[in-house]
Amino acid sequence: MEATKTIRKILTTSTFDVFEKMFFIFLEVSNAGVRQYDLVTSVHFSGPLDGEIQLGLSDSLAQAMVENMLSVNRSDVTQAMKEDCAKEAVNMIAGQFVRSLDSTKIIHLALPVCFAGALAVQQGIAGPDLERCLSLESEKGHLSVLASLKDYGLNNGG
Amino acid sequence: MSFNVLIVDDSLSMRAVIRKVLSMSGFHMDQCFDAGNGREGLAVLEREWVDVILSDINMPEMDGLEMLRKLKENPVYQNIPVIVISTEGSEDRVNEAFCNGAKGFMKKPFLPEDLKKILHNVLGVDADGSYEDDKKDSDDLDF
Repeated sequence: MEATKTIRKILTTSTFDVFEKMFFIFLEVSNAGVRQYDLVTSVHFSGPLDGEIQLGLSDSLAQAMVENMLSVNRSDVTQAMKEDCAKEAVNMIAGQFVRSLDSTKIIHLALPVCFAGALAVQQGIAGPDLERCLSLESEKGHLSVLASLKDYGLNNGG
Repeated sequence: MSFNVLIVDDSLSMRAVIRKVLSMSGFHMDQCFDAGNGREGLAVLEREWVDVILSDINMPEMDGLEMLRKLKENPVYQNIPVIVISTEGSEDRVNEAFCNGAKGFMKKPFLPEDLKKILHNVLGVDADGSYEDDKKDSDDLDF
């Protein structure tokens, strides 16, 4: 239980920091639960810590991320730009997340992947994983962040 | 003095952001080149003169650390300062980058001020964008 609390806290801080610094978007915790997402992006990490961070985004939020990060007009935003920004976001969240868990050792981050439309389904948002899933929103749209970690005291009631 | 800059990152968005921050910060930039990975970065160096490289680590084909090693091996490129800008920021990773020749390390996400500060530290560029050597030259003229 304590490990889950720690993970949620670090995940929240990492996500808020990335969205504020790089996308100028201010998030709030939401109680909306599991929702539909238009983009799902994820990154695996391995080494002393092994796991994955998944990010689910509404299209309107991905749109705002591109507009804010790249200072482009709404009409100039492409699907490729949204996917690139989403991948960069999950990459930065994961980097900060693993650094916060262990800043001494090298934890290898894989290249992020992104799925859109019908393929944008978050895996594992059920059962115990729900405990590690954050539901967040801003005036621009909503997102969820899910951390999966192997052997971090999560399977032993830790 | 103006600098030619090479930005190496597999994310188009990140390259655009770094370029935007550089141009808004008062940094005296002449030409700005970009590349999607280390291999492409080395290809740019074969045809263009570059004063400073800003590079990610985690990229396909050739990552930033391998590019650093290749630069270190080459007498023509080994003195080009490289600033690593990466999501990976563990102590061991930072040390690895410095051991391979990096002159600065900045973690993502970053603020524009962070980039200005690190450029100042590595290149001697002042907060107003001026370069220490330029100041020395103008001081010389006064005498």
